[in-house]
Amino acid sequence: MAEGPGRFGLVALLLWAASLVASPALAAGAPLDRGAFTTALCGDGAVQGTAVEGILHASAEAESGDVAWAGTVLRALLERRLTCLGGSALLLDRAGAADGRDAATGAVRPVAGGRAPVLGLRQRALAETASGAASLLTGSGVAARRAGLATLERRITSVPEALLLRAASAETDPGLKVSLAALAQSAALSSADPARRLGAIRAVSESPSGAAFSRLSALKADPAYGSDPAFRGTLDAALARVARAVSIGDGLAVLYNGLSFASILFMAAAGLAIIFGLMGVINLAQGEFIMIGAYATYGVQEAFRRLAPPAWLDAYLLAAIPVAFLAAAGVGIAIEALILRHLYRRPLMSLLATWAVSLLLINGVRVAVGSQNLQFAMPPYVSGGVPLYADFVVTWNRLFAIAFAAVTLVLTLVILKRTPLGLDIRAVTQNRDMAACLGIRTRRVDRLAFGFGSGLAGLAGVALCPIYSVNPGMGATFIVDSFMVVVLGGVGTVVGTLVAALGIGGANVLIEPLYGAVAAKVIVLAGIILFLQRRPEGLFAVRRRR
Amino acid sequence: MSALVIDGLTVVFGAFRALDGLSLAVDPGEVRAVIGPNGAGKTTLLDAITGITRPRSGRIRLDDGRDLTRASEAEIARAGVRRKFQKPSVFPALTVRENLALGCGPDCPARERPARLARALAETGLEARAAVPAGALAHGEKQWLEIGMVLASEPRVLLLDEPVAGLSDDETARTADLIGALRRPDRAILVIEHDMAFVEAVADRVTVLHEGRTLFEGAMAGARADARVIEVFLGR
Repeated sequence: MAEGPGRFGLVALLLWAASLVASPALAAGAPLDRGAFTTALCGDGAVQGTAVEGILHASAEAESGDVAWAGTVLRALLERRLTCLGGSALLLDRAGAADGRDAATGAVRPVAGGRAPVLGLRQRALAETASGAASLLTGSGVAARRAGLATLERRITSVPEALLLRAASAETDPGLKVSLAALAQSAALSSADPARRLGAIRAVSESPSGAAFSRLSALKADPAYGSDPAFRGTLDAALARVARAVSIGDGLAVLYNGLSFASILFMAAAGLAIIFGLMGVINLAQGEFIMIGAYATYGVQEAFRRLAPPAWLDAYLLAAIPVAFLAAAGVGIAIEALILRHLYRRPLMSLLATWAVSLLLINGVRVAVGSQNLQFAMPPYVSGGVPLYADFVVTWNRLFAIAFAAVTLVLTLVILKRTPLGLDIRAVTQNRDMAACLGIRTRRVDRLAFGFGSGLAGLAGVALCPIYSVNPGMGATFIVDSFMVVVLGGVGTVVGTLVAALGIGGANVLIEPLYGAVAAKVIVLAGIILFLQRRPEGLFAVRRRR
Repeated sequence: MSALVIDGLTVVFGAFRALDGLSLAVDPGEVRAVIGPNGAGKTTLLDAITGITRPRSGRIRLDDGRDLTRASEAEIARAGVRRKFQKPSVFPALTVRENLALGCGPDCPARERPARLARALAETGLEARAAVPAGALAHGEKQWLEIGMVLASEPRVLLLDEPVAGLSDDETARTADLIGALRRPDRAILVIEHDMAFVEAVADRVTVLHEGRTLFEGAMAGARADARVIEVFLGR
């Protein structure tokens, strides 16, 4: 009777070996011969390798009790707690223990006279993979299963797809399930079955991404690419499809980034356009009002860190909105009252004065805070994002800026169109003398409008905190583009400013990946110069008399 | 007591005396027309009253004794002295209603504003055009809109600078009706105009200016009969 199982084990081993070149499904349903397995583990390197490889493939179908048992044995083997004694193997609780349990029967026996089998490099790698597969399938905790999956990922080419599918269907943890499905797919790509491979290629091309593209591209090196026309055709079609989807996704990402850049440009330029339209003051310090807004945001964050309960910290970005607006507006009103008021109707002088103010603010902040980039804690509502299509991810930080700009646009329009101050601003912008004749206090309107325009730049500072780096010189990044927006959009029109901000922001990010950031600026600037030759008053000019 | 008193007003541009010791008193409830040939100083007079031009000497006072001679444009406007310019001076990009709201002025009580706007719209006949940008109005409508803007502020002294220049006969007649409707016991109206028929229709008295001085003051019929006035207007 002792011969029977042994012979059967040999047959099973042969079947497993055959399954390596054919389908692993050949071992389907066969209960594991534990004795033969341990005997094989005690054999030479070739026999060990065949046995371990066999159990790896059998894991996809075998009973989970058998799989768990094989995992235990393999772990013991890897940790040198397995001792071969005669025809059987003993499992030790720890390396060097005096007694061990028989792997097949569980009986406790002394290990004296036994020998620990030695694993070659290849066999060790296989044993690790098989043991990982066992813990993935039968591990009791998510952590254990995840560790098993990590082991499998390292040698994904030797893992049968059926095993991953089985693990995926049995998995209860959603995160692990997703990783398993992805892994199963890439395992199928290197499957020995041509039909399954083609299926996997099509499946991968269903969910395109940059990673999928490189995974598929790697298959071009496969011998089948040269010899099998069906494989070649499918792969080429899949690659073309993925490439198209990825470029669409990248295009969407570029547009999205352009939109968020345009949002910040809009907020900075809207204030600029109002101030220039109203007073003819070219405010070179507008970029520094953005910086003040960003630093005010930082100040609010630090205040929350020190004074508020930690749970409130996430709210600092929202709390910073009014603070940044008022800080920038306050500085703006102070500058208007102290300097610009004396320089009206002298555009060059006021331009130089605002430039001096800009230098003063930059270096003042450098001295007071330092010139390093500020670190912001990102609340959950501005970190991460949702993948939408291919590699295009809608990131919350940029969406925050876009939504912020949209709200600012609406508020600006409401203030300009629906409030007495807005009416005064529009009247003074169109005809200052006539407005004065009607009794409008133009100086007061100037001051409030200057504060409002500066405050808008401060809001831009809040919106860009989660996206761009914040340092004393950051304003220079935006001021030139903001001016181009104002000039292109036409002075004193919010809609023109919006359209021009979208155009310039979009053009910048569209050209940048193709020709570089400097060329993008040059091309955009040249385009604006050409446009202004045709329409010197900009896209949407208010008819006005001076 | 006169609503507006101008006393010995002299305005000098370089060597040219645009107004030369001009004195004028307009009573409350009166419509006074100021006529005269080109260069007589009519528009300069309005510029001086509204603070756009500074007089070299002389005084401009209201009936409550307030001195406007050195006041700023906005202060004069807030004191209740409002002017309709010769060229229709409306804000073309703002709607008719917004223009009227601006005309109502910064001191316009918020509670009264809607009623005043409605009244100004009704009096000028622009109700149907309330949401139209002023730039899209016809020339006559712009003139009425500007009168409406002045009206919305309920002025004590209303200065009209050639309100019918460039208007058709129909529009002129309508404007005359409109000015007739603006007449109130507590309001003085000063009209500058070339159109004699229009002046005769609206004015209680006329002041004829010539080279910055008063040539004649009295009823229109008297002006027509005055030899000096005929000489100045018709030439020798």
